[in-house]
Amino acid sequence: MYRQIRGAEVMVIGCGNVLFGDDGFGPAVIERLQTGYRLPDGMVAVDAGTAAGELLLDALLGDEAPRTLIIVDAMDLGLSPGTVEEIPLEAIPENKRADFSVHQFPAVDFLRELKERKGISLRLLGCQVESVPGEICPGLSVSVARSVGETAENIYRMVCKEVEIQHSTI
Amino acid sequence: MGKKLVIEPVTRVEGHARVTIVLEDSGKVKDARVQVIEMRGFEKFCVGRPVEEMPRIVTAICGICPWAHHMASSKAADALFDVQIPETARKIREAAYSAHIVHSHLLHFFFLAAPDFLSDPGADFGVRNIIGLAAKNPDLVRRAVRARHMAQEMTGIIAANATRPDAVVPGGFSRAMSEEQRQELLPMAREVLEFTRFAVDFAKEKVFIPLWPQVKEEPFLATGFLGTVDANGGLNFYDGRLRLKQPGDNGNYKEFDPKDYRDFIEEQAMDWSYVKFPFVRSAGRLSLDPEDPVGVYRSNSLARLNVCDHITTPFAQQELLEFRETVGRMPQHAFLQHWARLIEALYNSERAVELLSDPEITNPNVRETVTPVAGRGVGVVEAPRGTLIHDYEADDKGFITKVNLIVATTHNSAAMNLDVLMAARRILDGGRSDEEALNKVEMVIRSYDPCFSCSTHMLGGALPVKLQFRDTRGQVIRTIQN
Repeated sequence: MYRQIRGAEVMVIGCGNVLFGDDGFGPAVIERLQTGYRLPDGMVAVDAGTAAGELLLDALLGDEAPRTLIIVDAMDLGLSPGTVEEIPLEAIPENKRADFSVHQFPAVDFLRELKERKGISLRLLGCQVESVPGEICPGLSVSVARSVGETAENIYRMVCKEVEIQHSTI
Repeated sequence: MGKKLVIEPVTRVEGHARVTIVLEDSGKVKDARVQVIEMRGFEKFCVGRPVEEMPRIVTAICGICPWAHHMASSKAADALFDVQIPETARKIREAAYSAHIVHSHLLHFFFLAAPDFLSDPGADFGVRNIIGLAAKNPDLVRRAVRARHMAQEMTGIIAANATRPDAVVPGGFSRAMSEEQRQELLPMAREVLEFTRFAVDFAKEKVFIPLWPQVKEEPFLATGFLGTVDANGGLNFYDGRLRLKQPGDNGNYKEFDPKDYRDFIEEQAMDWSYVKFPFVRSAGRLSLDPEDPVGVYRSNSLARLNVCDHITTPFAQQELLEFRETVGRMPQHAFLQHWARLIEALYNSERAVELLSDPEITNPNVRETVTPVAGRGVGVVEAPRGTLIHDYEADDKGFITKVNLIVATTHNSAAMNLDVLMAARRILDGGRSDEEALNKVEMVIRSYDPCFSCSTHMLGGALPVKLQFRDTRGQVIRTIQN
């Protein structure tokens, strides 16, 4: 996997723990992209599980970084369950501003650094959860599972369009 | 009226934890507890699943140490199926695991711990982190990122997937290593080794040697130590016997087969924590009194260096000798866990080069067939953070009937609580609660490199660090946040 990541133009990262209900939304979208699509050259889809921070640290501090980074994660945004929205960095709760954990979701300051220091085009897609159990219980709720296919399709189209534009301008 | 001080969650450790410090009216620290939010329900979830599925399931427990769980689980399944894996499979497993340990240890030192030492402890939280460190030392951080990434990439080449491995299977390894892969991996391993040699020298010069004279004057917690050694008493992460040393043992120790761990370690639950508190069974009880701790032991980098007689690789052995000459044969200060961790990174770098230099590692015989059988199997490895125990029981169809895990951080529950209490008494007595003071308490926790198993990680969680003063009725009378 690491071999594929190096040199990728567009990296899609699915964050989440598949053992905890709707928290597995991000990995489910990645699985759909990997199994249901022929991804264009330069695009990689990565199930980062709960280790997204490592990938982002490498992107931020290393020599190689993707041009575009799309992060897919489960969130509680107070919306109807299964609703997927693109979240502006400014809208991420302030209470995550200084969290540099490499285990939890990458914090907003970290993401801003990626955007501003590295000039990476960053898009964050959040899915409103219906249920995240306190104990291990894998499996998405019906409402969140319904959004997996549409989200994968939207990401695929988004990336194809970008790659097409990029290549047509070369 | 007494006050309660809460740090929630601790930052730059893996997962979540809350530190509660109870203050007396006078401002004196009365008690301190590290409360861990642990992944719950795992044992129950596993019951009824095929044993061979376990090594794949357990990688989802933790995004930080998936390899340790993957390896311990496979070894438990090997034991349960009573299968002797081919020698080549053992070599491939250990090569991948060595690279994983290097990646994890470098990640901890440079990305999580180093900002504490290479920045001013009182510096603003916004710069006292890896980003701030990168701005100050861009070349150092770039090199550390490259080496960590390369070690991680090695596991990816060996196992096809670095972060969610599934290549280790009961009976061996699912794919042989080709000569082309070996030729690709060897220069990578050598480059990683070159960096870890630099890292040890760098950290000694900038951190360990300058700080040790000051640190050694501070009070310390005296505990026992647990770790794995090979047949000759050498440090080993993948396999061997467990060795348990207690303070005051005058160099004596108990050494046992990992499957017999229950005869030497007992587990106790606390009503204020989800995490179990293992203790030394022969002590008869667990006491968290810092003046007279009973049954407390640690299992991590410092523990491993303290229980082993020597290290089998030359550079790491040289560093071990210097370490012991500087700090003694069985040092206790938590700060030394950082130094020990880098010596271990060096050992694992050398071990990876050793294993990959052996052409026999490309032997295609990497897997034995297994047959379901009723019984029990225990798999133990040294995870980056300490000894990891997977203990499975299965029925005659090969379905799990019982699971018990003791994860690395759990071994250190008691010691970490005591160390935090001692640090709080040293630093916070009198009611001090400024940024620098709080960070010094957190630094003690970080020295353990704890992994408070991930549960979920949705946005909108608690503040990175939140400090609350409460009166004895639970009323919040003051809140500080960074």
